[in-house]
Amino acid sequence: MMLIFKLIIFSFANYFLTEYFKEKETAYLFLGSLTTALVYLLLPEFVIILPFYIVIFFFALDQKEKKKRPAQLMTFLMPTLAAVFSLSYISWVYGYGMRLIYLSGSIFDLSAAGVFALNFKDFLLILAKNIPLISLIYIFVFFWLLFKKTPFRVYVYLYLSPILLYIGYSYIYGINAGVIFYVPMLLFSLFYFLIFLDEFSLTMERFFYFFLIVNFITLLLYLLAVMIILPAFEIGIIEYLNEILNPVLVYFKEYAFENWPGPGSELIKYFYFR
Amino acid sequence: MTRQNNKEVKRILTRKFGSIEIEELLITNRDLRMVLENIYKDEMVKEAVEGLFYRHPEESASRVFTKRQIIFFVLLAVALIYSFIYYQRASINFFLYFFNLLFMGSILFKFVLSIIGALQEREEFITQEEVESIDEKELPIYSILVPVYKEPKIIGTLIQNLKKLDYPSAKLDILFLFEEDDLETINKAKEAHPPDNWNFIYIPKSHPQTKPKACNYGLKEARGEFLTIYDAEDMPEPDQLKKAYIAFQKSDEQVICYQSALNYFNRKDNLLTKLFTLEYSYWFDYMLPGLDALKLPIPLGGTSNHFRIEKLRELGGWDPFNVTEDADLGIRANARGYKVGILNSTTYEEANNKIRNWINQRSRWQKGYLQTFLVHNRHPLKFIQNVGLRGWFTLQIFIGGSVLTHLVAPFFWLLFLVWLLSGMAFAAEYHIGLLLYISLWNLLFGNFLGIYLSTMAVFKRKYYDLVIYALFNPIYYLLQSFSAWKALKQLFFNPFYWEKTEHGLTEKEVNDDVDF
Repeated sequence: MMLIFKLIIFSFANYFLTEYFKEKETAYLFLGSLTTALVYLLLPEFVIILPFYIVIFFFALDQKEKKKRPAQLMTFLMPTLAAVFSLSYISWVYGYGMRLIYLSGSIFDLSAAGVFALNFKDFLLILAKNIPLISLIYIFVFFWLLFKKTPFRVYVYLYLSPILLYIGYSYIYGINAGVIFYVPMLLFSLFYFLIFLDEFSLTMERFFYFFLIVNFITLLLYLLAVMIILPAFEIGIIEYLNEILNPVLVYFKEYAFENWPGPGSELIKYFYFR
Repeated sequence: MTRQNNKEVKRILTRKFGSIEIEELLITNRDLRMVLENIYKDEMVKEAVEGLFYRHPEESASRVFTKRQIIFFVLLAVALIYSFIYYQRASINFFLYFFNLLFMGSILFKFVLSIIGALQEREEFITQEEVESIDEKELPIYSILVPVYKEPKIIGTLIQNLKKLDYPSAKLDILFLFEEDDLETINKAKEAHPPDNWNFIYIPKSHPQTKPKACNYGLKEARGEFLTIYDAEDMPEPDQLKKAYIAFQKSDEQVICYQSALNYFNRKDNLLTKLFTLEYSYWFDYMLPGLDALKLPIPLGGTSNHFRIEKLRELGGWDPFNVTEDADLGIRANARGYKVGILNSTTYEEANNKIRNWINQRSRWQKGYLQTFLVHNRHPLKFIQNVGLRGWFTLQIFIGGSVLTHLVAPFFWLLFLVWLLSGMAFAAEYHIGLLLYISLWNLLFGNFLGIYLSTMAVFKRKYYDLVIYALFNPIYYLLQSFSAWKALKQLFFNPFYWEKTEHGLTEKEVNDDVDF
């Protein structure tokens, strides 16, 4: 299935979960949890940000009802765990071993070969290039959530999940996932708008529509520009960013990558005892 | 009953008996009722047993299979045997496809119902403010039928629970329906000293000795505008009757019955009661509201269904030959163009905490479902005309399909286990292509969804500590399969036998876990 559809399903999963946290209607918890499991089935890379969800669930759930928290957490996790088990079972039945995440072969079009070797330099460069595009409406809603009267409702952080998935996906495949991740971000903004509509003032609502239109126009212009007008300019930007980011990346590579899986004693010394 | 020197009464008596000397006596309502019962008890029993059959024979389960159904099943059996002999592979393929699709349809249907039911979760049909604003003078007489048989242990508690009902006592018409030979229960009831205006009705011994027959008998004597039924172990929420009254006031005349939710007060007894509570909470809090929201036929629960008495009589009361007369009545009402609604009030009951007792009860329910399925499938086209395709589909999946899936599920689990352990080629040979995908879906997702949806049950009533027990549901499915086979056997050899559920097994006090 095309990545874009998987990302749309991902957006719906988050929409249901956010709706549940806001309205506390059981139906949304079940729809959200099942759709999250579906996302896992279609896009196993999702598993990389699953712990993020668990943390959100743990802190976002009702603090007053202690017994409710594990019940909700269990309800949320069960479908994804069942999906993990199901894929493992299928993998095992077809003779590929009891793999938890990846399936060799092409059962259900889920072939994936994890390389876990992202070129961070290229990644950051392209991310930097995409930031102006993805920031418009996404950042608008993010700031609105941040500056409203009760900004620190934990579930608001679900709003960050497309970015995390974007990073995780890029990391796993060693490539930059690209502008396609703009789709869930844009959808997220729309969903959040729908969910929090009752909290928007009329001015905010008009602002939102304004940004939405600007966003679509920007997307079109961007695609047009990238494809036709500005390939040379793009190269120039990349070179410029390259110059700025290079020292940081070299430093990062030297001290973090080569000391993996943890910071070596030299790095600790460098930071704390120089 | 009548004032003295009533000329109209005299005229009727003279016309009936000629010029005889009439002696006027002053007697109580209860005495008159007893006199009438004594004189007409044979006719009343006959009416209670055969009334529905005489008026609407096609709606009575007194014949388990009609001639057409027998012919159909015989032809089906012959065709199956023939195809097994000459087209073995195709037949096995057909079977596997049929049951896999049935499993799939059944679980998807339940999923849709659950989600739609869950979306209604926070809606409060009748609010507390509405209950408090009732002018009690406006309330009509409300009849309550209480069929009890061999319940000496709990009859006293039942009487105390009914005393807690928040309804003007003068407008309560409570009728205890005793089997006349059940002296132990009758004596215990007398010892509990119920209020004077509550009535004891003694039902003469006759076949079939079932709850619906007792209810039909009681229906003849009920004088309320509305009527409900409570079982011996029931503890209804005190404002339930008022809520039902308001519900009827708010709805149109087509809605002839409101079903209250049922739940258990002794859920913490053991694993069985926990699983039973999960099942009941899921059923009454999510599935039935889902059916209600989609305007599909609702199979009524055994008690706490509130009727417009006039419409109930028009429907012919309960089918005394159907051992889930409640489910049958719900479907029958729908088939006659009426509607059943869901009331946001709960009656707490005692969950079975003994496996044997649970199997007896469950096999009776499943046998009743099979009877209901057979009765309403006698004229499928007419049924579709009355309830539409969606209603017909509900009957197939919800009533017939639920028993059928329990009957065949063990064979599929066994097939899977044997294949898993032995890797036999037979199963793999058939499970290819689309069938493989459907089977895999059922095995992995269908079974999971069955377990998962039952976790939903904990949310509305805040039974969060039960959520982990949802994982034990496969054990519960095995029990259900066992009782389904028992039900099938009884359908052929003892169709009208009412498997009595023993109550009073819990040591829990009814108020321990229930907070009104």
